[in-house]
Amino acid sequence: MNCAEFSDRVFDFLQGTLHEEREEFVRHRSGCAACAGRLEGIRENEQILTGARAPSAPADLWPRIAAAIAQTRPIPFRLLRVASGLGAAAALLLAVTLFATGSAPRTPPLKLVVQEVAPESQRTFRSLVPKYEDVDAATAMVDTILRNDY
Amino acid sequence: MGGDDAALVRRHLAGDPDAFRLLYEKYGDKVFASAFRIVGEHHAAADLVQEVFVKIHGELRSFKFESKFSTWLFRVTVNHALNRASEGSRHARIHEKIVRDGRGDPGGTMEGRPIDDEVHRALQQLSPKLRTVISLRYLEGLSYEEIAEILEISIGTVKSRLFLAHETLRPILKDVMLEQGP
Repeated sequence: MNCAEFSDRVFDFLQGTLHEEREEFVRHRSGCAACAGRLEGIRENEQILTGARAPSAPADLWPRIAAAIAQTRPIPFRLLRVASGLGAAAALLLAVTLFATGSAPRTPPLKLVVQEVAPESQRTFRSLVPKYEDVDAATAMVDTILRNDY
Repeated sequence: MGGDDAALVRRHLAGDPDAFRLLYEKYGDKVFASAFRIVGEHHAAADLVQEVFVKIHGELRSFKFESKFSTWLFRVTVNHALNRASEGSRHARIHEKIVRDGRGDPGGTMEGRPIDDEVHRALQQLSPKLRTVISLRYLEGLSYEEIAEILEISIGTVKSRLFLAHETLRPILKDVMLEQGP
């Protein structure tokens, strides 16, 4: 066994999984001070590395993740389907508004603001979708819109 | 995939609002520790872990259950961290300077033990790829096979990277041992 082969097998030796070539490995170590030093160095390194403590995640990380997920949650398909029935501009408005306010359940309260849409869509929204307190209420209302084919 | 993880993933996909949080509680610290080792800085690691969990939350629906959830999670983490490490070394140097000048929050390193800070500093002497294999092997305690699967490299490459990392660390950690005493 030469030094390169010794290096290739060093982790198998340390892990106790070097069987057939173990004797040859040990013989090379006995005759090669450089490889013996490498093996000892790895052992010492491993002792330090496995004893090092890992840092913990900051306590506020989960709330941050949960908030970020709520921001990126997709708009429920049912809402989009209904909105598309109200015209492109209205659909866009509903989508943008839901996205901007976050469609996470109940916090913060969902409010639909009707503006900058086609006049017919404005009328529809103003008369039928004035304000919602949360996603469930909005969903119920747009279901009503769909059922009545407004 | 571990039974518990598979069950949690399925609960999440079925709409259980607590399941994803439980996955975070199980792996958050481990993922953070790996990210911290690779990117080298506390705030950057926290941002990265946030990105990783948001990403996997969005992609869990397409998870195929062909590999372990933890393998997938660490793969996403490591890929993000390696990208960040390659683009972020300049930021890390700036941050280090701010801390050294006393103008900033060190970002919470290891809460106490000097040996942990010394090891962390030693690891920063390695390239991101070598830091990664050392972190996965000795911090996470993963097998060579698991590391190979996460990094999508051969077991032989894992071992050769580990060997190179040890060769680089040897003189640095020897000094750490001498400073720490017996």
